[in-house]
Amino acid sequence: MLNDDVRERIRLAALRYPDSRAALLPALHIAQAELGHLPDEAMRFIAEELNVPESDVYGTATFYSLIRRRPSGKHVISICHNLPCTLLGAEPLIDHLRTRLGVEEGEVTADGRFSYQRIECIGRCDGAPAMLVDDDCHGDLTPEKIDAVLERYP
Amino acid sequence: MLLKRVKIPRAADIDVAVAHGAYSAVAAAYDMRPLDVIDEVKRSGLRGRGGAGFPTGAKWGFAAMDPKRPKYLICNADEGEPGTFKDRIILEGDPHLLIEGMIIAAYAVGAERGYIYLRGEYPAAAELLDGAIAQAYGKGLLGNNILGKGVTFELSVHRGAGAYICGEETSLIESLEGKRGQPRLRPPFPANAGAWGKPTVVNNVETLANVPSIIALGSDAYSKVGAEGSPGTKIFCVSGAVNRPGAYELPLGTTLRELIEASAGGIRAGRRLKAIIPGGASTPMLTAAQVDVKMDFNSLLAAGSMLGSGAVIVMDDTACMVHAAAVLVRFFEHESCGKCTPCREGTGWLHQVYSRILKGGARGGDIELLLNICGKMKGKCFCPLGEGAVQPVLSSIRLFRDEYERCIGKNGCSGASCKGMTHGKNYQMTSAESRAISNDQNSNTP
Amino acid sequence: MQLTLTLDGKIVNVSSGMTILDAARAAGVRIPTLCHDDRLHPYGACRICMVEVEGPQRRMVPACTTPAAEGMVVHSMTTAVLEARKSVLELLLINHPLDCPVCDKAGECRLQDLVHEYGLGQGAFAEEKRTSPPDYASPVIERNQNRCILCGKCVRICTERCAVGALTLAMRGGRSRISTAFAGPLDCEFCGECVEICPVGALTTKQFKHKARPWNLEQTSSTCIYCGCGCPITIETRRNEVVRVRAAGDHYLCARGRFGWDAVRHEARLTTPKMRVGGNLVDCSWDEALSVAATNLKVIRNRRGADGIGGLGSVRTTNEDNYLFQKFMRSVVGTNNVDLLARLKLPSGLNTAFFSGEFARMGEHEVILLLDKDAGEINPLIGAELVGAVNRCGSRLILIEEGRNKFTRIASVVIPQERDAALDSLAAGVRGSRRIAGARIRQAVGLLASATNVAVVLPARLSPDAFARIQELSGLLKQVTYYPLVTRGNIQGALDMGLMPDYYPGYQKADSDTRALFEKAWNAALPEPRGKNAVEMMEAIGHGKLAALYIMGDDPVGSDPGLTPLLQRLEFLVVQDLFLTETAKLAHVVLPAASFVEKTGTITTIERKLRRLARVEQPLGESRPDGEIIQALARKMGGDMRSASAADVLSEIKTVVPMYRDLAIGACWPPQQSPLNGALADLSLSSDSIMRREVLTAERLLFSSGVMTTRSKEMRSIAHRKKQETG
Ligand SMILES: Cc1cc2nc3c(=O)[nH]c(=O)nc-3n(C[C@H](O)[C@H](O)[C@H](O)COP(=O)(O)O)c2cc1C
Ligand code: SF4
Ligand code: FES
Repeated sequence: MLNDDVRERIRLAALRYPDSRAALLPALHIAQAELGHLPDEAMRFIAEELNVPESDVYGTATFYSLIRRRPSGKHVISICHNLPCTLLGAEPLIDHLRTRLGVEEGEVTADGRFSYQRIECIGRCDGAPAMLVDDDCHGDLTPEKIDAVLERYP
Repeated sequence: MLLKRVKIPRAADIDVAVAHGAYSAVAAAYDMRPLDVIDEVKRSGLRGRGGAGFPTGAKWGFAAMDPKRPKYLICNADEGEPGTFKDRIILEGDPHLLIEGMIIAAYAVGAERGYIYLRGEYPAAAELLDGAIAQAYGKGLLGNNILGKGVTFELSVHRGAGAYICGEETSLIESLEGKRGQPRLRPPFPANAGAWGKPTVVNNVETLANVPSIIALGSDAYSKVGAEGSPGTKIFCVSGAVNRPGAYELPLGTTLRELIEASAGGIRAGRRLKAIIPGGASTPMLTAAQVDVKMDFNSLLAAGSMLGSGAVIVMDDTACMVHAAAVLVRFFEHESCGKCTPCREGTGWLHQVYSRILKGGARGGDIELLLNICGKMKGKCFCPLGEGAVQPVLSSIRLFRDEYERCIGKNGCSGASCKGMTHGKNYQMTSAESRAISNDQNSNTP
Repeated sequence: MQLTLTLDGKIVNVSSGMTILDAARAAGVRIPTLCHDDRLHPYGACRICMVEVEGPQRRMVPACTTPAAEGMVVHSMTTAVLEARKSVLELLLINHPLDCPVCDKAGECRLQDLVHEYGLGQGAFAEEKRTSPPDYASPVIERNQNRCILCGKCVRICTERCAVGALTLAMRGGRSRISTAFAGPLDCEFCGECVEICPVGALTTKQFKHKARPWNLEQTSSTCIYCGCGCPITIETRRNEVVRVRAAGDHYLCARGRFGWDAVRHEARLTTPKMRVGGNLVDCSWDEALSVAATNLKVIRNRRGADGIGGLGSVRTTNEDNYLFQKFMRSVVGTNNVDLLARLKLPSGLNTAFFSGEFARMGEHEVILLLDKDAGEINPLIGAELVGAVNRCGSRLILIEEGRNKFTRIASVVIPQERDAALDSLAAGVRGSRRIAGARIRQAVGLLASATNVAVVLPARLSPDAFARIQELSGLLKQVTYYPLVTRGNIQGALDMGLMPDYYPGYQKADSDTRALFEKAWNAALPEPRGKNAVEMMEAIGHGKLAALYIMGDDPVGSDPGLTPLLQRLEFLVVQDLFLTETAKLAHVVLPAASFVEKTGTITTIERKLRRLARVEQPLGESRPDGEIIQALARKMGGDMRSASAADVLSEIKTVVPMYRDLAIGACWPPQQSPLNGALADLSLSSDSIMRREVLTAERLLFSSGVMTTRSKEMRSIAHRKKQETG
């Protein structure tokens, strides 16, 4: 599932730390970027690579909100529902997004393009309400703007 | 001082940054002895901008004095406090300012290895920082024998993965070591036994960004700006019901009114100021009547709140205070690490009660219940997260009890007073994660 | 440095580094704890131990992790403190199922006790409880997350003390849970330490499920006989039946020790003597069996001489049994043909001074050189002490191992090389005779050369050549203590008791002087010529020179089926055992022996510590303790062995075995008291002809290696699960 290139990148990441276990988060990121999410197989691979017990990889991975253990859409939308965004209408926007995508949080749209999740503050409160689509941030959202943004992610 | 290059186009490029003065303080610092650099920072009176306001020079001194080696310097770029985005502005707009600050800090404390712990929600900043670090290596500002002075400093970015608690410095260190981000016992303090058990300095992005100015200007000139006990400028992040939300660098001690009216353009169209959270989610709320408070460490403490991270969340008369508190409680419930009983169970319980109220299921005595739960938590949690979690509850009840009474008395909020903040049956109690867990549980059954 | 603080008005002196909890204990003040355990790193999470400390502001701090400070004024009984404790309990109960009536922990549950103590009423919580289905799929252990209070002790003991890391905290916040990797069934060493340390009923054992209420149990101290470590245990009985075995106090216990005792309940336990009639083994009376045995042995002795008979003792029996066995062979049968097959498994070059370490002092070694990654399976206690030494005492571990296992994670240096080559490089490095190639060797050499106190943990089986290498390296170091790994039970005691042809009890060389001594002590004429060892006996059977064999508590055919034709050549074979083993199936007379919970006596651990076995049950059926059987047989043969209790026999042992003269229960005999001290007498046996085929994998070692483990239901469920996993 994960190839030698991934192995190599994990090894390189480990060189930055005095103890290879520190490369666990980088490794989770690398594998997730590769696979879209982190299946058990990937975690076993990382455990083996870094000589960390599998249980620790699992325990650590499940601690972090951005590590996904279930398959996601091709594009992942993370929409903020913290206070600054809520004050400026995040909830109706989340409703809009749900209706528009026709799926619940964490589910994947039928065409496989999107899944969405609520997220705590993403540090875009100057552009609230805001959301991340993959690595891109989109602020000052309105229902129309959400529709337009989604068009840009085939 | 901090945002001067942010407005310059392409300031993330090292040549542009250098043309505008970046890294000039490194050579100046290298001409001083490390202890003198620490003394200079001590004299400047710089206090940490991450939330706790600990004197930076003193922290450096502890780590520098510890004979253990190696030592580590960590920049806390986890910026998770809701309403805070000042570090992002520096990271994306002027990464070389931070790197310069770190080079000087590392020299002062004797650290040859540094990490920037960057929150996972800042992917763009990660890319920019990686590029900026590579450029700095290219110019001989990082690595071995920096500027030919025989100093070594290696620096890299370590990306978090979505956990507010990892902003707390000991959790951050656990997370850096590849573990669950649960806070560690103190003592020992990171300055003596931090990352991998070695002396470690953890400083906020903005704190480190102040260092080049202190060295370049000298501590005397630096501390002329600011307020008594709070020298320097501060980047305030104004969000919520204002006309121009954004990050504004002002001298510490500027009044809240000035910040909201002059900088952020006042309250949005036709509305009135109702409440302010002055320093991020874990700082107690203030009412409109307190708008003349000075924004510095001591004045805010005196006003019953805290400077925190400088995240000013402004609420106008459309805001429902019960809902506002509920949203913050939901945040703390989601972010509690789960280690200690009061925070883990208390935030969960608070969250359940608020959810019920917002869904129209309020019961008589709920206000007392909320206060009671806060009482079980306050002063008893392992780390400040749990202590912060009770602040929105206690302060909103203290300042807006009538609103709670209306909400609860009518079996739920009518929604009349909080137009923008629809709630009711859609208020989310469960998240995708909790569903994921039930899937896991099923695999436990034979 | 001494500190003085005030606790509830009392002045308490403690040394610096101690916590408020330590100070409270010193002052006799009880502060409740849930997540704290002295064996684990401080954690401070449950918050039940909060106390108030005076200062500019009165603060609430956890007693378990707050260091005592000079002049500190602490209050542990104020209203605020009691309220805080009540609060924590109320919070812990909000998601607790309150299913005490069906919980095995009820009666010994810390949570239940505290709630009772603090008189908690119905709490204010009136929302929905979080629930999750229990794990019934793991062998031996059940996990019920709903009862869990997330104290993290199970995870921490699994990591800090066992280095297994099967358990972890997963998820976050209120969703936190104790989990295995990927939430599957447990896959671990099944030591059960997590069950033992769990303060509530979140972890329980299948073996004890609904078996008894803790307050109805009677507790008796005894000793585990599964391996040479001889861990102290507490046997819990109800109406004279064992229902649970636990570690004594804070001692460690492995899967075999904790769960394996149920072998004594196996339906195939021998309950009556048997004799061979027309090719079949049939039940008979003790009198018949003993008469047949005595008559046949006498006939063969008359025909062939006493040296036509041999005896093999056991590592599963007590010192007293083995002492009587060799005494019987020497003084009643009249031969020195007495031995212990388990000697085949000893490191060669072994002598009594070799077992020089003490487990509990493993942490005093600066450096531990581990030469066998299976240490934790062979002698689990040594494994646990080793992990503890590294994790708690800061000992540095050097591991020579090509693969990966739990020790590679805690080792300071792993040398991924073949052992002999690595030892050579290390010796050369320490000697400084060669430039050291390789960073790992260099690092290991640095550690070894600078250490004042090194422990070497040796494999159970070593070639003389390999042993010479180890000795050579040891010779270059400052102080070396050997911890040889020894699989089988009471091997130390069996050797001490003289189960060797050339030694009388206490390693006294079987020469004419000692013979005179023992003739006097035993009031019998003793045979002169040297006897045959186990290998020679086997060879003698092949040559038709040995016609009868008396085997107590061993099953050579079970280990090496190739021995069957050889043993079939015997004219007469007596086997005394718990089960109808493969060897017993070949016997002419089978004598049913009592198990370790059905008799008293002592055993001697490989650290030379004397420990006691307690009798908590009646011998099953007509079975009898080994010592009684031997004495009955002796009487049938007309020998002069009066009927003596185990205590009497121990007194006799003390008069003839120098190291045991003043040896108290729980004490170790000093190696210098052994007549062999300093001499490199080789106590091991080597053979190319027998028991060659016995190959044990590490897992088989732990869960299914011997007569006992293969007959334990619990051990079999683990072994079964392990087999499933490996496909
Ligand atoms: C729950 C919690 C979250 C925190 N989050 C952050 C954060 O996101 N960024 C930060 O710089 N400091 C954060 N802190 C403060 C750090 O623990 C620490 O005090 C700070 O990084 C020290 O840097 P400074 O002295 O430069 O402020 C947080 C503290 C707590 C208790
Ligand atoms: S299972 Fe038991 S020991 Fe483990 S954390 Fe839960 S309550 Fe504690
Ligand atoms: S609260 Fe939504 S981006 Fe800050």
